[in-house]
Amino acid sequence: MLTICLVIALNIRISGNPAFGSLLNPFSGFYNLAENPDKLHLPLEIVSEQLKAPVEVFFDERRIPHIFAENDDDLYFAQGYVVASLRLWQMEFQVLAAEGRIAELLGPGEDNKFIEFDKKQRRIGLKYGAENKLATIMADPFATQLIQSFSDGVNAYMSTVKTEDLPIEYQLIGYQPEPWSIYKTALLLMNMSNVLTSTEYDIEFSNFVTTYGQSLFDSLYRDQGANLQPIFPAPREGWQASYKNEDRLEIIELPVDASSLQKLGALYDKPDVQIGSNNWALSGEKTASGYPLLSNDPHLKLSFPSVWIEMHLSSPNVNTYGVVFPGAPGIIIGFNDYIGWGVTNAGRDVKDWYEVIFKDQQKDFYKYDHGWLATSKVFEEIKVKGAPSVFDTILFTHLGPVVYEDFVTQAGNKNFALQWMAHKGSQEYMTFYKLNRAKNFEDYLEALKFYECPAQNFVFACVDGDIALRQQGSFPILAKNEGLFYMDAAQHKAWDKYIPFDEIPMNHNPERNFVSSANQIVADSTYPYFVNGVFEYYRNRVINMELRKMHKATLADFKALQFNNYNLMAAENLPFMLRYLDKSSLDVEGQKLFDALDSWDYENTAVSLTATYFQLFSDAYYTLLWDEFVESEVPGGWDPFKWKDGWKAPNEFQTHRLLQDSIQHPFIDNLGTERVETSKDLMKMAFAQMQNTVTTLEVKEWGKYKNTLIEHLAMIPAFSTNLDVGGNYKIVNATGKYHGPSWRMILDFAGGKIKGYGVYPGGQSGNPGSKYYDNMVNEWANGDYHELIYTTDRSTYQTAQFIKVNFKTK
Amino acid sequence: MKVLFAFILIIILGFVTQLFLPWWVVAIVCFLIGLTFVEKTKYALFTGFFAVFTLWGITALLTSYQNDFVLINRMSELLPVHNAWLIMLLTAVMGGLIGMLSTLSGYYLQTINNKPKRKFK
Repeated sequence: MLTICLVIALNIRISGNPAFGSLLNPFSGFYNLAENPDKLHLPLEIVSEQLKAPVEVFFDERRIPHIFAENDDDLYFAQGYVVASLRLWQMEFQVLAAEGRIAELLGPGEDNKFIEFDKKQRRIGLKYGAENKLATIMADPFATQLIQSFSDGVNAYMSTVKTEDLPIEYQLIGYQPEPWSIYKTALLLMNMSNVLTSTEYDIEFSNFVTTYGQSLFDSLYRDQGANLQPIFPAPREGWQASYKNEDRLEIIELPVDASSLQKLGALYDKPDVQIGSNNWALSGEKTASGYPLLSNDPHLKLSFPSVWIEMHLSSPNVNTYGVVFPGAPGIIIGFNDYIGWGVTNAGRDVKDWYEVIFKDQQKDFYKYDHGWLATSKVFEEIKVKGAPSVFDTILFTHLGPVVYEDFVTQAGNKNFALQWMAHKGSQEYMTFYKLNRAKNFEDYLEALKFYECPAQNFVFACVDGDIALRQQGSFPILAKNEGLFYMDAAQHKAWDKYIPFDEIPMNHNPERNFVSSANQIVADSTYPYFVNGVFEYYRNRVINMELRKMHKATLADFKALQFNNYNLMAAENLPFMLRYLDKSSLDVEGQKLFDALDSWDYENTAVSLTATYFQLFSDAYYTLLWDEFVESEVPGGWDPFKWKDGWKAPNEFQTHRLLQDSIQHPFIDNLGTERVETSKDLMKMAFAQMQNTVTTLEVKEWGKYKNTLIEHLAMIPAFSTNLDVGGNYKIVNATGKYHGPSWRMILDFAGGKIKGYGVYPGGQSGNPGSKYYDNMVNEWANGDYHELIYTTDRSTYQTAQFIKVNFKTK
Repeated sequence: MKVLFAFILIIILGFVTQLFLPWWVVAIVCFLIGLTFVEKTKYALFTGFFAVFTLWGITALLTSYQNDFVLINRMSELLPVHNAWLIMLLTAVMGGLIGMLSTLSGYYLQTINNKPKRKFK
């Protein structure tokens, strides 16, 4: 009896802990996932009746699959199969998170945080957008077949996996995967749109502008400064514009009572602004080979398993190599025999908020124009593990879902609806399908016509010597200032006109012989359309400075630029910040820190102590300056303060402009003191704070202090890694605490034949029990790249470093 | 001699059955061996414990070895005991306890049934 109890006890899960017997026994427990690094994780022969013809897959020493199919359906089937075999848990977890089903797996969470997360995902309309995208795909037989083939491949793999061979996360959390579908791929793309287009501050800006007035708002948030370098220089012949801003008749008025928003309920978290990317290309005029060089490194959250998976796809119609999000067919960033391409985020605001007035408490009707429109209602059931389901009703207006309902403010409860480009059905998969097959500049343009959201800057180079850069996305035509603040739903119809394709900025073989983008503003104020968004100010100028200097450039120059640690923000601002200080008034330790900062070369290398001092110094004056918006300090945290809900402090660039230009300013005064502070007082206080913190630090070297984290998606520390590396947010080598170059790629077009070099901070396998879970992390940290093999000559793959898998038809 | 026989039998049968059946089949194997081949309480304790201890311990060790100890090291962080050897020991001891108790159960049943001495098989 006791024995039976013991066995049963070891076989069931107790209060969220994995079942010990099931997990720890060496036959079916976690030991089962201890992969032999010399063996493949798949059988060498796979039979599927869904294949039309045999497929050969060669896995190289890094477990990159080189897939050779005889037709495209089989190609994407095999891609789905292979991706699932490497990253099944990640694929599904990302999609379940997008769909708002985390509580179903993990329970309600501390303070119901998982339920709230799920509610948020559904209210902002990730499911709604994915359903719209699904409808667009299903209306197109070609797209349906493409994504269905991929999906069939995923499911074919899943049907072969025994429960005990499922990724360890399934065993630890205790659930089973569901079949893949086109809808899940749509959810994955929706999730990327969410990550890349969610940074907007309509409600925060409304709050500010009605509290402090338009002119302070303009000077602190909108002025771009004179010496910035937009992605696309203004053309000599001027911009074309078919529409004028006045074409939209609505006059954008400031929200009347926004200042009463000061006591806001909690707004939903926004993605970290440290997400960004670099890309650039040089024409043959500036390279040693006389052919283009191209570079791309997207900076995303550093995670295990990695955001990307690397692949080589080949069929009689296509031969392409690069990286893709696990869960989507094709290649997203990469190259083929003729062209190479890469992306950076455009950062344009395509997410607007509208206040909705309901007729009564039933909320069946809301105010529009001079009458009332009916809301439509969608019922959502949020399943919760170990607890009853939670139900939510989402109200839809003509603009989109009411995300914030009965949101508590000083002016009573308010309702805010969201209009978002990501909600619309669109065909981004066609862009990548066509880019994978593009042969020249015209094909590239044709591919981009399908691309709407999230808007990206697509860099391009071709073996014929062409280089180009184009911002691509759907941008609604807006009145001046439209979308900066929240608007009145009763006075706005949904977006209906978009900037025409030919009037979106592009550079094709420009005179300066290079193109580049690093999330900066798209164009200067002469661009005829109203532009709003979140932009970067420093990386792009360092990149352009280096590209201008380049002459007979080689691969080594591009590698060096991807690893450039020059801190332009420090170089521009530290000298005047130090001038504000009176060195003689500092104690001995303070003078040492002063001298270190004063003689710093502005390089954020891993071993630099001064980089740490500067970071602490700038955090300190930033918080002191914007103390009006600080809710509380978080001592010892990487982000040393928590901002008040409903407020957004100006960015670092605007902060420095303010400090440099004005000695006295209402915001420079610190509210915590009796006297009125000037910039000089502020700097002195910040320096003292920094000095204080430095004495408490156990490690002072920048790389060790920053302690970059590559975190497992389910935040399991044992499956995560910390790194001691240089760089930072706002630096070309944008390796911050939690974000960094998620894929470093350089393409060399020498001799009209593309050679690719790449590396990413992770490994092909999602299995923490595999050598290939993190085998590229150190190479990535050390600045090593792999030469990427994409030849179609199969004899290359017959050597010992490749393992061949035969997919056979039945 | 019979002790050694029972010991080896548990290891062989336990290994083969666990390849195809759920892990807890090892308890049934031990129970049956306890029912048939074990003659004394102390033999039941000893044989059951060390047979499964050895089987699970060696399997855990070999599996981890061919994996260059990648996974066992991560799991030791996760559980968290920060020592891969301790996890493998824990695996072996857990197996041993299961083996010991199930063999003992089998043996007790045998003794109950054998009160009026009756041949098995």
